[in-house]
Amino acid sequence: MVDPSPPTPDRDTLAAELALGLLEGTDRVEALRLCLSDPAFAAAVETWSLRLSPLLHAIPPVQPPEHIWKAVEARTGIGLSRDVSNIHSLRLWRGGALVCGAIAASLALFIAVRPSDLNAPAPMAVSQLVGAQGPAIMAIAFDARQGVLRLSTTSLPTGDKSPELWVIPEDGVPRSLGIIGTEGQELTVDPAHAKFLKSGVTLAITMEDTASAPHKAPSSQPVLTGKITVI
Amino acid sequence: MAQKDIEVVGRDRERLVSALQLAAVGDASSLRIVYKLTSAKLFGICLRICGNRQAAEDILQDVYVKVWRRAGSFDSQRASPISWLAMIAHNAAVDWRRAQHHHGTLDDDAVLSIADEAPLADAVAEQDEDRRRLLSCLDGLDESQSSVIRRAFLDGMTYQQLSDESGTPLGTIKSWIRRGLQKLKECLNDG
Repeated sequence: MVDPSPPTPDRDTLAAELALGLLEGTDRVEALRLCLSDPAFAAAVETWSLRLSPLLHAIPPVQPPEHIWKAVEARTGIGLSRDVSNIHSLRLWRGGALVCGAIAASLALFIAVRPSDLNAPAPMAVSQLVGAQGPAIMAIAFDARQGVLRLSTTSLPTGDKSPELWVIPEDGVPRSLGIIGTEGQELTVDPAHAKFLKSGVTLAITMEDTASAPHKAPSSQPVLTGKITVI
Repeated sequence: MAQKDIEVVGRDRERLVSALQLAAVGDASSLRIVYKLTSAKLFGICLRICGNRQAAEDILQDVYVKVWRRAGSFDSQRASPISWLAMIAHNAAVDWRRAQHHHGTLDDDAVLSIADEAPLADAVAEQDEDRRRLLSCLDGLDESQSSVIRRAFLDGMTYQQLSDESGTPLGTIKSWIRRGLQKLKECLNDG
């Protein structure tokens, strides 16, 4: 058979080759090194991985043995306590490399209502709030049993004003859930307001005067907004 | 497919998205939910690519440790949760294979029972728009190009292994794959 010379790979083709797993030896090492030095290349590798990933859906599932989960619990430390502090892992929000490079962190804030029974088919509520200006990352988990919001770190603007979290239910009237810090913390939700944390309602963060909080109404445009969906 | 089934699939997907987001803020029980919903699927992927049960078990552990550490980088706007998780499993399994210098074929009995993907592909395709688009774009390629891309990705094979196995010159394999990938990208970007 005639062996035509293949087209010279450009950067994107090289990214695809790494994503496919075609490379070995020094070619693979070189491509992995490029991942570390070139974020655009790393992103291209991940784009290719995600493009092709749906092919894997055809592989039949196989039930793994029981001991795997135990090992995962032990290695992550989550088996030690049901309520491992959320705070220590908040730094994880910065994300990490999965294929080889950094993934652009999504600018999102979300709130989730944990189901009271973890094995129940999950009345979970999730919302992604997207920043109006610049990247802001915040995650909030709502523990409905304790009525506590757990907040991750955020890159919201700093200054003499503080971020105030609002829930805006069907009646369209914003209710303040309180001022949130720019560091991870917990926020106890007024039981009268906890009932608003359900499907379809809007969450928003505005920058407000710290001293006079909580406020009856926001005084500025929100820096983050989004809707809760119950699953 | 019945409307009800589609709804169930959609709900599982949303559950998975929310569980990943909760895991990202350190909610341990959410990782358990992710595991329950996806471990059989990811174990299937690890087994298929490693061809070795013990290795697949070790890799599956690594995968969920990674998911726990990196759940914060999951972006539901960019990828479906199952595609993101499958990608992690695929990469971990390929890493293992490349570290093994495996040049042989799959060597574990467990793998021999794995069926051909074609019939299952049809069933799954109904549920997954991304997958449907990918399959339709792959169908648009020359048969030689699409089959070698599938084989590489689904079985974790290198250029050299594909060449050795098929008796096709290395340069030809590279041409097929590179031209195929270029066309695939154009097709996916057009869709």
